[in-house]
Amino acid sequence: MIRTYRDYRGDFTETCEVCVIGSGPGGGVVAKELAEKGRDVVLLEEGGYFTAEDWDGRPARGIREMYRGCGTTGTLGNPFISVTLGKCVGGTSTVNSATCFRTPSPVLKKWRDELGLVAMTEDTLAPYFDRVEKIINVTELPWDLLGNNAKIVKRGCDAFGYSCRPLKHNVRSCRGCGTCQFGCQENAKQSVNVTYVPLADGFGARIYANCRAERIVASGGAAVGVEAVTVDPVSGRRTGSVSIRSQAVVVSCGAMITPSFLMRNGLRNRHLGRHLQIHPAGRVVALMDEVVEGWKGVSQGAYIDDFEDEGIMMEGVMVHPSLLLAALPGVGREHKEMAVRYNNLAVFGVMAHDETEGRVLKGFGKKGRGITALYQIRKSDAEKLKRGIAYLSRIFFAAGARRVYTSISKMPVLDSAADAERLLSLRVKPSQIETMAFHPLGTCRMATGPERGPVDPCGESFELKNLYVADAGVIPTSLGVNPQVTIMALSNYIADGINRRLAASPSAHSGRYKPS
Amino acid sequence: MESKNGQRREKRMLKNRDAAVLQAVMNAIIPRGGAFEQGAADCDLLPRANEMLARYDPGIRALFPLMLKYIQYGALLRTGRLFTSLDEARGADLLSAMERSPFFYRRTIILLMKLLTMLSFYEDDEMSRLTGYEHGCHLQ
Repeated sequence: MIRTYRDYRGDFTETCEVCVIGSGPGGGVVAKELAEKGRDVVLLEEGGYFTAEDWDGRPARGIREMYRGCGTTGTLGNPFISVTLGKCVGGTSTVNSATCFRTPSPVLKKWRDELGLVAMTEDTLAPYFDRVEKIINVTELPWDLLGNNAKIVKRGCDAFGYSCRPLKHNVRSCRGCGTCQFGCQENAKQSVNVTYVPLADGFGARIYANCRAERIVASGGAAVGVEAVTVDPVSGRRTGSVSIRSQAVVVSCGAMITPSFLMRNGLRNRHLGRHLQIHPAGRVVALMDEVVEGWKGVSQGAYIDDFEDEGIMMEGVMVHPSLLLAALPGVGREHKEMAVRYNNLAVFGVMAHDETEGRVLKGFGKKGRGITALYQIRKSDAEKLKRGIAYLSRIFFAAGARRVYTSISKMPVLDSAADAERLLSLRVKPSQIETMAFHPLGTCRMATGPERGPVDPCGESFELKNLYVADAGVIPTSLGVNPQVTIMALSNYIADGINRRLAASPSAHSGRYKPS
Repeated sequence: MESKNGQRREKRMLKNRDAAVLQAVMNAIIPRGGAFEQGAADCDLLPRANEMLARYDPGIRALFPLMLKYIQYGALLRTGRLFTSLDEARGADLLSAMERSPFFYRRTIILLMKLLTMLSFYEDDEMSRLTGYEHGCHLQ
């Protein structure tokens, strides 16, 4: 049973072997894998628990109820970059576009060669990828479900000899309703809330939604429990307190939250919160003469990886009018002229395999709940975005676009392929690109020693025994592809490590539990 | 907080003065007339906006009234009149100029205002249908 705020009556205590904080692609996987191995697991999630019956796939409601800060979280720098994060059972997997990639081999090689993570080989990780992909049913969808948006870009790519291929998705019986980012209305998306969390529940894990971890309890240099509060989902106010005693604590709050939570709990490793990479992204919107109706089909259908050598990845993305029109130029009647052409718009995104490293700070406000992250995008990454946007514009013009809208303020509208060529040679500052990001990584990276990162390759903290991290934060570098499958596979790997260590020292915590 | 009919609602996030500026901004972003008749003034958008504001990241939530003041008094500097006293067309011109600004934080303010307005406005199926989008058609 997954308990929510409706089930809580005052304060309570729990005792378990492993307390997992966060139920996204990191925590959900750890909870299920450990519960399946017979471990006594408690899973805490600050956000609410929603089922297909609870939501309606409309953006306003989805953003209000399932996104952290109503989608306003981001990084400060040149410019402000919106980094949206899920806040619900299943975490960001509940509200992402269901795109799946394995960790690219060159990235694993970099981890081994430059960071000394010798265990990170294709052979070591293959069984984990296989297992994850089987559970979340990673599959390739037919072109009919990918929508006209993908077909138009494929037509443009064919003109240049580029390859536009279907993305793999974690879906089952998907009908392509296109509302993936606001909760799948048909449970077709095999996100963590419909796969790992119910499985964990079935294996006996106790799952508490609307329950926010406030403090890690430590004693004798080891984590021995968690203090949490139950929260009202609307006001965010506490309604009760929860004390959990456990042999191990796993923090899986995501790369933007975990470091500040750990810093507030006294961890001091100098790499904690650093090395933030986010895959900064731009967009290209094409106005077509033909009817596109891009919302008929999965939101993110196809991708182009021909520019991988330049650190550029392109993926289709179609969203509800409220979000797409807000991102396009135009206010007042100009906006309305654009709004009635929504069905003639095709959209593709550009993602940079970033070299920039940002930083998550301790947070501010009452109990540090406001996210503060800095990310000063480098010129080289801005150049990748500009080039990607110019290449995509070329592709759209080859596919018959009448006009292209870019996310570059210096040249927001292109009227011909010649304009796309001019854009390619234009000098663009990072602050002139309206940038978004969806994949924060690396702020709690796994490392061979405390001088290189806050946690070891099994996710255990170098500073506090029995404290583990299992989320996007442990991924040591930018991936260049969507990270959910990597997060899940590494979390499964970490779960196996936790299980081994618990088996080796059944009474690992020697300290006394002292609730405040 | 519970209303009389048992529905949960948030406390008001903006003071009356700021709410009036936000309403004027919304009316300028989606005015009446043009490609379709309905505008922000035809819908009760402030309660929907309030629901979103209540859940904003604390940093952005704290800055939001300052952004509204920037628009309100920025208009005074540029046109000699407060934003709330401009008609929709002049308001839209002013916001358009901000949207084209070389300073990214000025552009970010407008992006945030547009997002809030459009999420609230197109939340109505009737309004999103004006763009040709048909919510839930796949389920029929």
